[in-house]
Amino acid sequence: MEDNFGYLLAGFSIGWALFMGLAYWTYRKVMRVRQDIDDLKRARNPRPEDG
Amino acid sequence: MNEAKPIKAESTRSIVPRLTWLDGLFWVTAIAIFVDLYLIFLWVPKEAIQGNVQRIFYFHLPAAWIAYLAFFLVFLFGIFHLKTRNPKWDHYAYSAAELGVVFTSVTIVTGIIWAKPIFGVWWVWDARLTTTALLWLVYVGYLMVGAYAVSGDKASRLRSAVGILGFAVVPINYLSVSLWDTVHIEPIVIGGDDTFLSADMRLTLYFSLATFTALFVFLLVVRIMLRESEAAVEELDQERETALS
Repeated sequence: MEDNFGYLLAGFSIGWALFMGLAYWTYRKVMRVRQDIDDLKRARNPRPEDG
Repeated sequence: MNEAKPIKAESTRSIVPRLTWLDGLFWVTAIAIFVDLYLIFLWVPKEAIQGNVQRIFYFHLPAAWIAYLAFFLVFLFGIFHLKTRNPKWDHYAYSAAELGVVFTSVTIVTGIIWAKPIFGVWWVWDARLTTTALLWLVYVGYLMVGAYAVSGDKASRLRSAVGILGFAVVPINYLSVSLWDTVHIEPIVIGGDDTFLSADMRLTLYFSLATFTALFVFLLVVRIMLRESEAAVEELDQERETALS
């Protein structure tokens, strides 16, 4: 383990960065989907404030 | 048959969703994770007896804590769901259970990697390890049980019952090291003796616990939003089918 310590840290850092990147991408995608659903609902049943 | 009206979504708002408190939580968590890695791999001193392999402890214990927290939330949301029959609570509980299973898996895998160099074996069927395997199976069962129910409502009620009853395994799992002979060490944070940890080790452990908790909250909220979106799409599909028929 001593010999591979730097590789281990680098591996973990890259792995975490990729994971967090994927998590953020998923989060923004979910936000977009929620907005699409909301728009679709409003198109079917317009609310008074939509005019 | 009535002709269905074409449905067109017209957004009056900006295309890119606005930033929310979740963006803030994400960036705080992302930075904290790298600080945590720095603390675990470079800052905290090497444990005198076990050596570098002990550093896995700073992942193992926070993962176990998050698994317990997740299963407690499944229990709590399950009660709310059975009481109110509001599907919102089922979405919350299901999302927490999924994350609980993931973090239990992380606990088991890190435990296995730690056990081999220290105990000389990957796995033994002692009280702690067996009840952890049982815990994992109970919540995998929780995720599966809905698939066997006839209606969605029945599935969610069955799930809630499994989530509430299954929580009984959590205190048994936690207390197993005190109640029975086991290779696992005694509790060291809650209700245990953490004096054998140096101040540096304690700080790293608490920082890691906070980081894992922040990550869990972020993932849980996103998973709940996704689950609610799935339900909303299903509802819209049903409305559309009704309109077409």
